[in-house]
Amino acid sequence: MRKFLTALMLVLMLCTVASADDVIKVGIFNCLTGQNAFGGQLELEGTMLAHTLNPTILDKKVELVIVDNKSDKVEAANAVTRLIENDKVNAIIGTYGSSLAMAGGEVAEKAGVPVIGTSCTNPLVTQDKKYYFRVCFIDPFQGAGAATYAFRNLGFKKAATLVDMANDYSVGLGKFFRDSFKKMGGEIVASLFYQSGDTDFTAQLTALIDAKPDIVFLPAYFAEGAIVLKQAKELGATFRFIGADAMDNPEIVTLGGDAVEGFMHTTFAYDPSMPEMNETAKAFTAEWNKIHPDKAPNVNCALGYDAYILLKNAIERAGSAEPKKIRDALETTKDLPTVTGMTTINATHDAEKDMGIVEIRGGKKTFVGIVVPEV
Amino acid sequence: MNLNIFVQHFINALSLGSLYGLVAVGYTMVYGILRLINFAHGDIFMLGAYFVYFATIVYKLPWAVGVVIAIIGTTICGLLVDRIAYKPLREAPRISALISAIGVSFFIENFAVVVFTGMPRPVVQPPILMQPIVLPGDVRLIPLGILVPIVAFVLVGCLLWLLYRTKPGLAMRAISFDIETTRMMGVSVNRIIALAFGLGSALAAVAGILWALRYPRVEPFMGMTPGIKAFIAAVFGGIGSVPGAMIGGLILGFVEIMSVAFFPTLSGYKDAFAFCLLILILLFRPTGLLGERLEDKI
Amino acid sequence: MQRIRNLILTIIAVVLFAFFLDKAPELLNGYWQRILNLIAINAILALSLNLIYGITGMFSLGHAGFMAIGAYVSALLVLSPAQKNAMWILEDIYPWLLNVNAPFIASIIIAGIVAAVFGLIVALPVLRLGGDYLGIATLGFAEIIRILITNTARLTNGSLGLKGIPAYTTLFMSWGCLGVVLLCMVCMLRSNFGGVLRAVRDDEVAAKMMGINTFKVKVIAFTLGCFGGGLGGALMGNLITTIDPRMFMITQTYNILMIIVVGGLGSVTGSIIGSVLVTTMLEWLRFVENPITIGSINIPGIPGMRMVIFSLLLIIVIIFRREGIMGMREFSWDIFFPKAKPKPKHEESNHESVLEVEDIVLRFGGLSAIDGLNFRINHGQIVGLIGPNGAGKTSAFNVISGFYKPTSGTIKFLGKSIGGLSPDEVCKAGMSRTFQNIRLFGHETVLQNVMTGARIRQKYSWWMSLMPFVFTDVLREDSAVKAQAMNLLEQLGLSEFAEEKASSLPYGAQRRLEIARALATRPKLLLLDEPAAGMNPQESDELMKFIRRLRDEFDLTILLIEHDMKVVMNVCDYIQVLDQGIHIAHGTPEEIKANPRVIEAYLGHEDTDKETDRIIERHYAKKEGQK
Repeated sequence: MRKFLTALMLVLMLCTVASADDVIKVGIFNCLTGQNAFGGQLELEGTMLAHTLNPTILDKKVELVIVDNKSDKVEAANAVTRLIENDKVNAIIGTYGSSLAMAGGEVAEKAGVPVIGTSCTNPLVTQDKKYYFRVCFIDPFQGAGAATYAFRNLGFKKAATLVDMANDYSVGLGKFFRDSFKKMGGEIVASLFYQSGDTDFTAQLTALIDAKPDIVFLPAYFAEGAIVLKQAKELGATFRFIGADAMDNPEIVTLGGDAVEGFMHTTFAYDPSMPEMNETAKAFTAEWNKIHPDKAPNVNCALGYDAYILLKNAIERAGSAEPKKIRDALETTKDLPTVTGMTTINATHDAEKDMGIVEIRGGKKTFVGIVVPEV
Repeated sequence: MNLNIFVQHFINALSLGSLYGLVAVGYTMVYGILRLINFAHGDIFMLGAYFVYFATIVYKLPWAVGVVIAIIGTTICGLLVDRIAYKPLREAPRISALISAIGVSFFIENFAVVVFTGMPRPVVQPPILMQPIVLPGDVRLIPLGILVPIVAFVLVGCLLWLLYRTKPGLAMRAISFDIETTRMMGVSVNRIIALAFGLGSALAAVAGILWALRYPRVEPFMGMTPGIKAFIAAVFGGIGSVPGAMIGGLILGFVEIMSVAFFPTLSGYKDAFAFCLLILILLFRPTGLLGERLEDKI
Repeated sequence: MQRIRNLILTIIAVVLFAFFLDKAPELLNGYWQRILNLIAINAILALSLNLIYGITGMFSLGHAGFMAIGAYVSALLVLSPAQKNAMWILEDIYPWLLNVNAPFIASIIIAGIVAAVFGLIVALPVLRLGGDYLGIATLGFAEIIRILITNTARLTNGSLGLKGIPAYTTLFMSWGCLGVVLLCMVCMLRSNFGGVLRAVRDDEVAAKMMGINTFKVKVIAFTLGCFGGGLGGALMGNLITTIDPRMFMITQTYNILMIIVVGGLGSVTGSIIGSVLVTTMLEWLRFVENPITIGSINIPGIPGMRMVIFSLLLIIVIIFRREGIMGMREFSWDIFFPKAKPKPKHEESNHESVLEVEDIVLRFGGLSAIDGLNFRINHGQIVGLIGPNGAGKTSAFNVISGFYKPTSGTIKFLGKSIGGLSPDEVCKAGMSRTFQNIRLFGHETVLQNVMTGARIRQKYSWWMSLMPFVFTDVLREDSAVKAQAMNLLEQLGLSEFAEEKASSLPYGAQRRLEIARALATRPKLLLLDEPAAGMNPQESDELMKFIRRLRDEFDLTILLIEHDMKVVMNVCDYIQVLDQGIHIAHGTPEEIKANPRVIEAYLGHEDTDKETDRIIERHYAKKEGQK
């Protein structure tokens, strides 16, 4: 009897070991609630789509463990700790929002678990980090891109910025835009601020009208940006606006109505309106539309998707789901076809990829082309 | 800055200030009677905006119908909040009700996230209210910008009439003075408090609707900042005083707009200006501009 | 015996817990260690806010601001110059800041001190405000601090925040800090200074009359609380390892407030229980956001559900247990043991003229409350101050005891002018009083009420009470004061109530307790405001004897206001009569009885206003206190 029991135990143990070995656990920490929920939810949907299409890697089942970080730093650190310690994930994907990524990144760094950032574009996120990567490019690059487009392609000489003082993303982009624009020989006529949560921008906009710029750089989140554009129209502003990737959301037209007409923003090289889409992007768009027939995909969905693809590629090249090996493989990613163009991970763990320009024309997001920033 | 720009700033400030005032009036109404800082006021305000969104965008009802539905719906929500979370705490220390209010605020916000998702939603703006009127000197005024102060002042007027010229108003003032004695006078205290809450919620709904029209975007956390701002405005004017709340709102609006207008490079400090002024006012008039003076009774 | 037993039990518990912390890295995974750390930090924050709000009664919504200061100061001190150089990517860091450095322990202490200094700067102007206005003013300061941090990028790196802060907050560090904070706080609260803090919360006016400079006490408590906030913030920064201004929004203050209210406002134990509950609950509830499978039903995870359930739980706790888990009670080992009773022990000047009041005029706007009051009281006299309602008697008391400044006129007490002194200074000069509507520190025990009155005679400073084992004066003086207080209670026949809550005493005993508390300040002159109010004839007979006994046993001079003519005529040596602010007569009881002006004054007015007075009084009492 006792022998039988021991045997049974052994079998059971073997089974559990085997099953644990068969599963690759991928943690997702993103802002599903709180102030950044609109971005986090889209990215999660993108990642989940990629998972549905690629449920196994190296013939192992991939299990997603999803944790909300509430758009809050303390929660972000807790969430990553939980993923690593409780769920023993092999790798992590996330998050929207650089400050959240930084909080989570410290934990992952210490535990030695690789993280792939989706749209945390602040340079500090991957600075001095061995285990943090991202599928997005970074703010200095993007700020320079917007400046280049405004100065070279559109030929504007006088620019101004309207920046959310409490948002690191916005502050950083504003600064990089101003620096590049000045370097190219342009003039910055005004630099105004607001605070996250503000809804009335009439004071800043009236001051901008007074300063008479040709173009205003508005590195806002889309929900705020749409309201800014609306109020600008009401006040009869004649200058144009250019924004950045956080303005890339299908809802911007519904929110802003005709006030967003002619608004431009830099973004990743993907948009459902793109004329020459690469194969991955085509497949992604088709699959997305099957699952969400009522909602067009945007770059956040694409980046969520790409993060998973990048991870899958790294695991396959490493031939193992061991965190350390995934990390090493991620570091050598080169010219991986992703939805947002060819992705190469550079020395600072940031993705080097093309930057696109989107303009709202006739109430539709229209992909205008690729811009090469003069950094 | 030339005169035209200044006039434009002035108009902007009036429009923003009267919106703040309108939210603050609801705040002060509840405070005046129950001495409860209703932290959930901003969230009830948010519900008002969502009702309009659902009525006009989702169910495509005419705009006016949407407004009526929103006011009724929000009032019911406000009454429910009072019945469930505040009424059992009438006799409790005030901090209990305050924490309950914070709990309600968290609940409504997160419930909205669960039900409506975090995605900001658009609101239909009737074009008639939005077509800018161009005044001489290219000063622009949207009709809504005139409507907001008018509605605000009319509502404050109605409220004052109600408080000072009607029986329920008398009962409300009596409750704020001494709830026990009022109860002994045979006034149904709970009914009157519910009435005050209903009124406060209806005011929040009106403010929420006008806010959503002016800044056409609804989201679960939209009530947070206006809630805090209205609280400040109410304190500016002397919390508990209806005309005070309106004046406080206007002052706040003017401080915010004019600080940016005159010191554009310091626009990052905009909110700090408002808070500094608040503290200064409190130091010289510890109960706000129109608040009742309290002597220590020994 | 009992104390030694409790001490041993405490030491055992601490050692066991330290042992557990030592083994924690092996027993618990990193996730649970992090939660343990958060519990300790939240407990520090809750204790410090509880000191400000729960114990001293100042409604502060500014804690997040002080946390922010602490977190930034500590982070800037522990970050290496190389890290700082790399991090300030938008604006250049101030050169002097680059090389400022301190070890971790020093950094968190400096963080606390800087937060306390800011707290002091905030406290000096705003603590004059009361109630909700104080709340909004402190909230305003917290927001200003946050906006300043956001905008001064060269100092703080603005909205980018700081990252890569070394994770110095280990379990031993956080729980060690909590231990020190807890020890200091418990010591302080047990000392008589702690009693003073609670007295200020329960009744600020009465506390002033006990010779307490309530403003100073409030400033001390607020500043200490801010120190705790800064310390907690610093530990938090070193745990999360990255900070930015958005971490310190008003919701952060709400969280702490929630903890102390759920735990029990004013209870140290409650704050700790509250932080354990709230912190673990928030984490544990995460399961509702994950997909749940019950049998064959698969419920997908709903983001946001956790906070919905959490806020519901919060509301339920508040509705069904409004005073929080602990109420104002504290944990004590005694609950495991049958009660033992404490035993009491034993204790005890000469000017001809004690009080001289000359030409006192008091006007409020155009209304004159007192118009020319002149009298003197000699040593050992019992003098009555009578007059119909609205005559200005209590106003006269308020002028004499320093609550009102007279419009003109002089008051000499024991030969020195006391015009313009504040109530606490008047009390220190040797005058004490009771109040018409009894003002006891209702949540405190009878003994503690009396001990508060003795605080002015203690020499130790408030900060010594944080470390009573170093400054043993605290323990010695407190035990002396306790013995004297017990003695006083015995003399006034209150010793059986010593450990009971003051508010639970019968009415007559509350009156006597108020007198006992006044006597504890060792006054030369005692002012009694309607001591016989609400007493039946038998009780007032006893009161007369009692007042005479007081004068003889305590070598007192007594001035009393009284409506009960029987009491006045029987007990007073001399009587002063006021009517509508005018001093109409004075004389011995016999002379007064026969004075036609006095009779006219009494008959001319009727006591119809009494009811109105009562309503107004209650109204004020409510607005002032909420207690």
